Amino acid sequence: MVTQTIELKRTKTVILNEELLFRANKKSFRNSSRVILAYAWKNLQNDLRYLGSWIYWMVVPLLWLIPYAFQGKALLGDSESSFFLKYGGTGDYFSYVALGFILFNIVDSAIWGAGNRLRWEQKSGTFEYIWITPISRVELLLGSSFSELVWIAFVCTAQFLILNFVLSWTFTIIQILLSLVVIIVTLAGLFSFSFIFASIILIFKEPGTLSELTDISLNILLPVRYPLRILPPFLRWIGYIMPFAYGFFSIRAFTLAREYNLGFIYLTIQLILSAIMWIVGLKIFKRIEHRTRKIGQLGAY
Amino acid sequence: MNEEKYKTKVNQLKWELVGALAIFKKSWQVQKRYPLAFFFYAISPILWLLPHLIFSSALVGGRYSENLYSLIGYGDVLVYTSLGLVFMAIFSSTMWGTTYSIRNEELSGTLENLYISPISRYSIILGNTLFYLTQAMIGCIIQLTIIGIWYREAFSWTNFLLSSVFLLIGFLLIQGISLPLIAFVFWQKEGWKIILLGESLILFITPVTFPIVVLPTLLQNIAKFNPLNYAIEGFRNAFLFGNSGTVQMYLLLLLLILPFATTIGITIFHFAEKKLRKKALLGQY
Repeated sequence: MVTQTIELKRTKTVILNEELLFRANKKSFRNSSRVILAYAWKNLQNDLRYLGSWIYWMVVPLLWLIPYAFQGKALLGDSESSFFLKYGGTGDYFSYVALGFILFNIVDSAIWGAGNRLRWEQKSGTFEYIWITPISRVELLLGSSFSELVWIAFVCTAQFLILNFVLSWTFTIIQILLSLVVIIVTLAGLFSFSFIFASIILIFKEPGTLSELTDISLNILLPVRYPLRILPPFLRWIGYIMPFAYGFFSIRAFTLAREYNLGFIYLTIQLILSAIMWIVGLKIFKRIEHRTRKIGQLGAY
Repeated sequence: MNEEKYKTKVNQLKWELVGALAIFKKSWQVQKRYPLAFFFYAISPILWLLPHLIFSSALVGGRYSENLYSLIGYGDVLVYTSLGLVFMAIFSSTMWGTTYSIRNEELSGTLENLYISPISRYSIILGNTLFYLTQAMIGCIIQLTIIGIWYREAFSWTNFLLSSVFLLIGFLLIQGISLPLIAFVFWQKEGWKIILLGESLILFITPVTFPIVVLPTLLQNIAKFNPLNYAIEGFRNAFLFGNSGTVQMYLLLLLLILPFATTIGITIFHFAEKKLRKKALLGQY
């Protein structure tokens, strides 16, 4: 009788464990979002320990803008450029560059933040532990992108408000709201770019060099400082296929040029290209992660 | 007796140089293990110049600026801007290289071994700086070749050699500026943010992409105390216009500033390093 009871209890425990395992492994939106938020919160807790860093990255990139004003004064002697007016929708080149700088923060964040997060886990010695937990790799990447999203949304909004005050921009509430929509859509593009970038980091292991190379190349190919029309056609078209480029186009169309229809067209193109980049990014990441694990190079330095 | 002392000094210097060269060789060997980084440093000088040059060209809608011509007597925006940027690239990479020369050894875990070896701290810094200098020089040669092609109609070897003197003095000046920064990084460990902030502020009063005359009067007055101002303007003027009274004046000013900056740099470094060793902060992360 006693043996039977023990056996029954054992069976029940096994069933219970199996059920727990099944529940834990069951893919659901609730489980996934819990994992994503937990990982994002862990990253944010780390970042929040360095509050000075938030203020620093809010202010210092704005300092890099000032030489552009002096350069314009030296080369043009005026605050309006006819080339920018013809191809950029506004002659006010400084505001053009200022908005470009704000939006480039998002691209920078995809490169230096989300894309490098896995490498930083590797360096902290926590990578293998996170990797063997029963959660999807994609959820991890989404978590790291999500923490970047919070941080970069803060930086972009603060910079926008500072520049709005300094440059006396006269934007309406609708223009500001539309700019925020552009920032959010560009941030969604950030996720997909992070997937591709994280895959490259897993292969080459040189985040510093790769990040710099990507950063500097995107600085050339995206309309951060100048309209893409000035680039040779083959370079211009590389810029045109990147979803980020349309973020730059639409934010300027909504704010500086006040051409709302054009802005919405750019925004739609950006959404479509971001969706394509999402699918491609996910596939590339999954394939490369599988390959890296197969050849035993996952934790290698 | 004097001759013996002299011989010992020469031998000492020789061994210091051997030590510095060994560190230089080691740094290149490490670099060679990262082919992607090597490739990046080969092409980065061009990539780094491009966005700035394209922006200059977009501003004026071409290559020539009448306003720039009326200010300095020269209107080619591409040559003007790139000469400033070449100098700044050398300044930036050697400054960061020298500043992080000892900190990088600390992070690699090799600092203690180097510190107990019978060579001076300056040889450790020199070896690392030579590595960053050669790396920057590769970039500089690529950049200057491109500028030489743009400027081929009026290019003069004499002017080029004269401007190289400014590059050399500029490099030595950077060493003087970097020595206190090494001590700062040693003390603060992650002091790069403050250095970057300082570099960003200096860029306002350094004529990299614009002449100083376009600055507001207050900034123009502050810029008079910035030695980089004379180095960069001397370099550009010598390259574009050759020998002139202005170039000679800049050269003289730099030759006066150089020993002063180096002495202050060495004194601060010496003092700070001694303090840090006393507090046992060396080798801490």
